[in-house]
Amino acid sequence: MEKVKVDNLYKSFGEVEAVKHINLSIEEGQFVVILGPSGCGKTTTLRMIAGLEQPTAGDIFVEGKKVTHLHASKRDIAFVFQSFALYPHMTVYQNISFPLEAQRLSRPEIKERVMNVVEFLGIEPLLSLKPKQLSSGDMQKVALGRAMVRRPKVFLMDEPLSGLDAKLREEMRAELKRLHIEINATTIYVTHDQIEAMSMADTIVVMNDGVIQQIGSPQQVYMEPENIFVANFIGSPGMNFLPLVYTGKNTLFRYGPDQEFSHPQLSFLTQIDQKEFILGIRPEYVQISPSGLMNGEIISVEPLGYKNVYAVELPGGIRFMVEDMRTEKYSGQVKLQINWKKACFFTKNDELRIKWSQKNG
Amino acid sequence: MEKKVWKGILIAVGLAFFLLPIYWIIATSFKQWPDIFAIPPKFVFRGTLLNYMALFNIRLEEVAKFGQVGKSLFLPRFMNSVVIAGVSTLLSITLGTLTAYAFSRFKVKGEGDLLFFILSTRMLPPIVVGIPFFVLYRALSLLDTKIGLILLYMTFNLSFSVWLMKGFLDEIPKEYEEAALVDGYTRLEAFIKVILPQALSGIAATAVFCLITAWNEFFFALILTSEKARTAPPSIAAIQGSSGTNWGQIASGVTFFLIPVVVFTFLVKKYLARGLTFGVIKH
Repeated sequence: MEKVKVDNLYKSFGEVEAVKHINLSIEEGQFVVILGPSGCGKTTTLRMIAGLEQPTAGDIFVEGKKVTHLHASKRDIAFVFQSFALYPHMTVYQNISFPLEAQRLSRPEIKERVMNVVEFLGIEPLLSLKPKQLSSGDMQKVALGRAMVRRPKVFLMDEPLSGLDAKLREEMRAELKRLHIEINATTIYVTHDQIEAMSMADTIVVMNDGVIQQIGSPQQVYMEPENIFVANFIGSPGMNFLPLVYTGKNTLFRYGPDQEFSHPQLSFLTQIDQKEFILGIRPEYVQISPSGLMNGEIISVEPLGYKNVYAVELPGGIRFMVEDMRTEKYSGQVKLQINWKKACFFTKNDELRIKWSQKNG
Repeated sequence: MEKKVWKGILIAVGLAFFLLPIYWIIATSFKQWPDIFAIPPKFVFRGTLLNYMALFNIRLEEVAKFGQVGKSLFLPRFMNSVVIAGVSTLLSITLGTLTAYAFSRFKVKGEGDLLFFILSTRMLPPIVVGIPFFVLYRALSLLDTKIGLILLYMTFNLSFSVWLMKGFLDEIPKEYEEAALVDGYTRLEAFIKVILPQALSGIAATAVFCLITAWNEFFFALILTSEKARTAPPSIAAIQGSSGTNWGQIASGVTFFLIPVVVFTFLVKKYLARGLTFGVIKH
């Protein structure tokens, strides 16, 4: 049985449709990251699961029980806020024990559970401090502690790392992953940062414009994006796109003014009842090579030490980002070689990826 | 350095401007009759408690010479002021805070219009509604009752406390009570345990303003009360007789009248600093 199930969930704020009929199933112990640009409805979805926002339509189930209209305090779900939302007038100890006070547990039991969590997070020295006296990393840990202490059914986290500086974010990413592995808690994590998503998630849910674009493992969303949006949003730099037009002759495709190429890997496209396609290829699968098929001119080079990132302009003005480490050439005309096995193809009209099954037959 | 000096002078002038009248009234309350009118004014004089004795009608031989007879009414009226101002302040900040919380956190239909309507009760000059209130209060048997003035002051201060408290509550991020909600508390518990402690400075500032308004109110107290519920301000004014004004006694009444507000303000001083500079300093 799913731990959390979201069924045809819909939310509008007046005229604005924030979440448009989404479906989602989350298994026990999964770490699910909802990833999308700001305003895509991911936080609204999370808040509806927490009970902080009432859905306009649709249902939410936790452990098979319908909780759509249940008060937030009765759902046994913990929420970690972007701003941490530590109670400023309470000490760290009081903050962490606050959810237990609500359950009217005995004082010794509260103390024992708080101390367990505090030890786990390594924040014993902070217990008597007020939130104002904490660094942002410590505030984050206290916020996590307050969520953990209750042993809730589900952890919800709304961009919990975006308030931290880059170095701390890396540390906390590792800390969150450790936490997830050790207590094996079902977690739904919202972020716009794809690195967070790729590094922590079991499953990534890519959202845009209130609609789920793709649900899959990090590997799947990276290598087999369902559509152009996902392909573009995931990866840094994102995927390169090149419009192709089938000329009708053999496997000859036009990719720019007076520029054509042919490759046996493209033959499956000729069997599709369309003429215009978009080739998508990640920067690391394009190489600068004298035997390449496509012409281009190097515009700029970013030497990053372990690799060089080239911006190459193709005839017709399209720019490709190319990651290459062997080439010594830093300017001028080059030829680009594509690793066709790693290429994705999208139809031009609906921007959906043409699936492998279609590719093969 | 020079800037510092100028700053000091400016502050001194400002302080003198605000504090001199207060000094004057306090000094007058301790002066003997001829010293009160001395020109040039006397800053060094032989003090006396006669004015206070007259105020509370402590019957010494000398006080009797001033011709006051009967029991002093000042103390019971002063207590009326304490009760009326205190209770009305308590009511208006309680209701005001709850109302403001609703406006701040929930979608209220016609919020803008309602808030404007609440404020508009404050726009009429009191004298315009004086007669209607008199007629209304007579019909409701509220004339010369403490509850009558309490209701009136509460109503007047409510608009003020709603607007002020809304500003303070808007400033408290709603994540705090949302955190309390998911931590297992009801909305009311979240309000009491999480929001109220953080709104204390705002409540203190609002309470001081409400208290001062209710404490100083003169016009309605004059027309709506006569004996039982009369407050201190009209009583002090009544000391002005038809044959000459007993300034010493007025000054002692005013000085005594100042004490509760000063005491209250100092009691909530801890919370007040942030409350009064609210909106001036953004963090």
